[in-house]
Amino acid sequence: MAASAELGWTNKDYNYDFTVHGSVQSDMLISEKDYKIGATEYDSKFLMNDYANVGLYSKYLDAGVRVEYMEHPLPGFERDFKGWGVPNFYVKGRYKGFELTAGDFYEQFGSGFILRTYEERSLGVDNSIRGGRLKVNCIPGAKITLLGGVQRRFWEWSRRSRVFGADLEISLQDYIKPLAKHDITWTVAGSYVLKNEDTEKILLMHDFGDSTATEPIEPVGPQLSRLNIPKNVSAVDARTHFYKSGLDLQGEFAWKSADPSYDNGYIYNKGTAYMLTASYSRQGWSLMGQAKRSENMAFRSRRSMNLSSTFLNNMPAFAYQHTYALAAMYPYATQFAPGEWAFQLAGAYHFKRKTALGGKYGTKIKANFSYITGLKRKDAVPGTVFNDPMWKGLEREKTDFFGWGEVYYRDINVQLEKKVLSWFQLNLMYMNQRYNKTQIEGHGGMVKSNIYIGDLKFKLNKTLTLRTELQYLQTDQDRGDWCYALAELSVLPYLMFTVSDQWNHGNGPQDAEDAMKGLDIHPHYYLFGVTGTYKANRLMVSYGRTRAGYNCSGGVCRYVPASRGVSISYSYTF
Amino acid sequence: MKFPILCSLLPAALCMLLASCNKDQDERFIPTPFTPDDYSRIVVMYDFTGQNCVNCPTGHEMMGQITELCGDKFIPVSIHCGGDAWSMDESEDWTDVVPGYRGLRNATGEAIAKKFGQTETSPFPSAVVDAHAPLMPQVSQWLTAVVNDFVADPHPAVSLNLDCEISGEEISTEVNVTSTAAFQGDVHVWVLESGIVAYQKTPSGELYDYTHNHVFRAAAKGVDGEAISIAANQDAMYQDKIKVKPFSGSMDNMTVVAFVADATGIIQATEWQPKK
Repeated sequence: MAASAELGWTNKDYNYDFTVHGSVQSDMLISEKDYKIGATEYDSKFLMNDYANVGLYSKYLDAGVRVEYMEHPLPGFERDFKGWGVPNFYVKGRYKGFELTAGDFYEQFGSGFILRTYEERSLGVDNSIRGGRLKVNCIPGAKITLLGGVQRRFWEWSRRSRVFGADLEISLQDYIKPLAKHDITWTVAGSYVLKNEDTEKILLMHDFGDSTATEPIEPVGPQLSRLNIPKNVSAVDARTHFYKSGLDLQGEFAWKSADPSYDNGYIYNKGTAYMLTASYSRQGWSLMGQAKRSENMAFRSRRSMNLSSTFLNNMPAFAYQHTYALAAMYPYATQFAPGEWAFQLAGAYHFKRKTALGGKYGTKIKANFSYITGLKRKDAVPGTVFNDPMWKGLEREKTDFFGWGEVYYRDINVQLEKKVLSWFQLNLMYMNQRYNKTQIEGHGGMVKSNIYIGDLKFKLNKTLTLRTELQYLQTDQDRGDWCYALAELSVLPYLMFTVSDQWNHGNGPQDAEDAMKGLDIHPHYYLFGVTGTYKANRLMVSYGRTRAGYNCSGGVCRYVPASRGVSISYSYTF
Repeated sequence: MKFPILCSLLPAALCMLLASCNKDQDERFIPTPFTPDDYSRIVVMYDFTGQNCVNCPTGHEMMGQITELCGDKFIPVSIHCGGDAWSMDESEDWTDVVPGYRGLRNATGEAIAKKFGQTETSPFPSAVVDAHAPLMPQVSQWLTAVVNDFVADPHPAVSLNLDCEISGEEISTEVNVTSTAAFQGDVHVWVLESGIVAYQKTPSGELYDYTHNHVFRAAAKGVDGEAISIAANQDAMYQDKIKVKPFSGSMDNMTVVAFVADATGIIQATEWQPKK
């Protein structure tokens, strides 16, 4: 909605026109008990997460505010997520290459190895920084960012921990003329982040008689001691990005100083991350390969936190982000603290229309291979987790840089997209997956599965489109085989009707535990829904069951418990 | 040209500078003298746990370490609850699925857990010290929390004397509460059992002969206890009888814990064990 007629004014030198934009989003569940799938009672029958934000935008000044209401939040969010208020407000001024923000802001340095603050509502993540940020873009070929503040944790902005950062990005083609002449874009950049957190009392049992030991120490008699925790943790990042004529090369390295935290069991090792990415694309085909090694890179503004809050950084996920229900059943969660080796190879090829393989309308094939392993640790103790309390205060042995530990995740998938007839389009996918449930969820062994997916779209007439999905997951582990069917009828321009069912018809080793908990071992997760859109409004109403599982985005996951009931979701953007 | 080269060297320079900012091993541990016998208070910790919870044995080990440090000034209570705990209701027999099945969860323990916000979907294990916030899902915080409670109130005004008698499967209890200052709160009498050999999932696999100790079995005065209000230098006596069938095979493995609590948490506690 442009409001310049009411709010703006101009003179011959400056334009003070304003525009107003905003949005409203409300997600609600009217919950029902269903002990057969583990859906329990909540303190309120009506659970909802509500967001409303509005912003004022102009050439020189922006301002915005967001209101949130989660007094009875949807299931699966952390306890402290509950609350309501104004958790986000800012004022941003810009003038001649300088931009200054005061209030709450989001920022990312490079790939996010040492700083990435963002909002992801489905995960309950909002780790914005409240303070000040200065961006300087007036130096040719250079961008500078300076920031400082305190980080949000749900409804708390603790002054016990302060974050400062600096980033410098140089575009070499602005300084080296031959680069620009050959259409080469080449940037080099460096970042620094400092976390300054008040010290805290962390007690442990320590044997002072053996101060040179680097192995886990059994208590020799009760010897109480306090960890000498560093107040300052520094992180440095260096990166480069080269692009020419479809060839894209990136390299990034990050280093973090000793950061004893709950995530790493309060060890004094440094953290490192390395990443190389190469991709090439031409008309009709593309290829991408990337490799990453990270170790001890969980970086939070509060060292003793767990779960998903207060992360300052984010390690990119190298696992393909699936959207089909059964393909996304076992999503990979990036192992920040223990570290990992991750590889990804992806390619796509478009067979042109009116060719033998392309057919009348063309055919697209995509393939992806993701492979993620742990690091090879010389001091690993079988049957213990990475952050076991026995390592408190110690520095663990250096890992073998090129050594691989056990497989955490592997995904090979091939997809075919083809418009067969003018009114009929199909997408087919096959996926072979290995998912280390013990490493990622704490128990369950290695789940090996084959997944087959058919997605068929029929354009019935000018207003009616029918889309159907048939999916099958075959595995001998966990809960056995699943099948999924969906039918979605779109009535243009306003309505869409959906019916689906996900059925665990197979048998697996997890069935015995489920039976002991009183759960149905062959449950149906049915869903009936209708979605309406009108201009900037969207309303979705559905009834059915939701399976317990992990909702992941970018390698960060949130556990969602099972639920049943009426879901209502409304959004409006202006 | 000099500007970008200089700027690109900055991160490397910072790395070298910061590499020196690390503590040697000997500097990392600061001795903290702590003598439990200097304190007259006794600290109680509830450990919310489950037999099917793979990380819970880590919590049990931590309670063992704290017991080694504090001796009889520390009372751990393992309350089996949540989705990873199995019911001790004898009508639920899963011996065909789990050889030697023995569930350790009861409704009273579930209700106690729920009072502290520990639900089916909460992280396990979690603990509270002296029945006050915070609920701690990080095992590494438990030792610090226990020591903090000793320091916060080293010599409570309230003292307890607990005497018990076992006859068959019935335990008769008598609690005498005295206080040097006026006190209002609740008195609780709980029965715990140790030496229960049953299933436990651990990070190294499933164990069918794991020994469970300090397992919460029953609350003589229910979840909320019995209200108490005494003036300074006054005393009050409470008697109860409670019947509990031992899972360990012997009533000698039963212990009785009595404690008084107010809105701030447990003020004082005491434990009775059968003479062996």
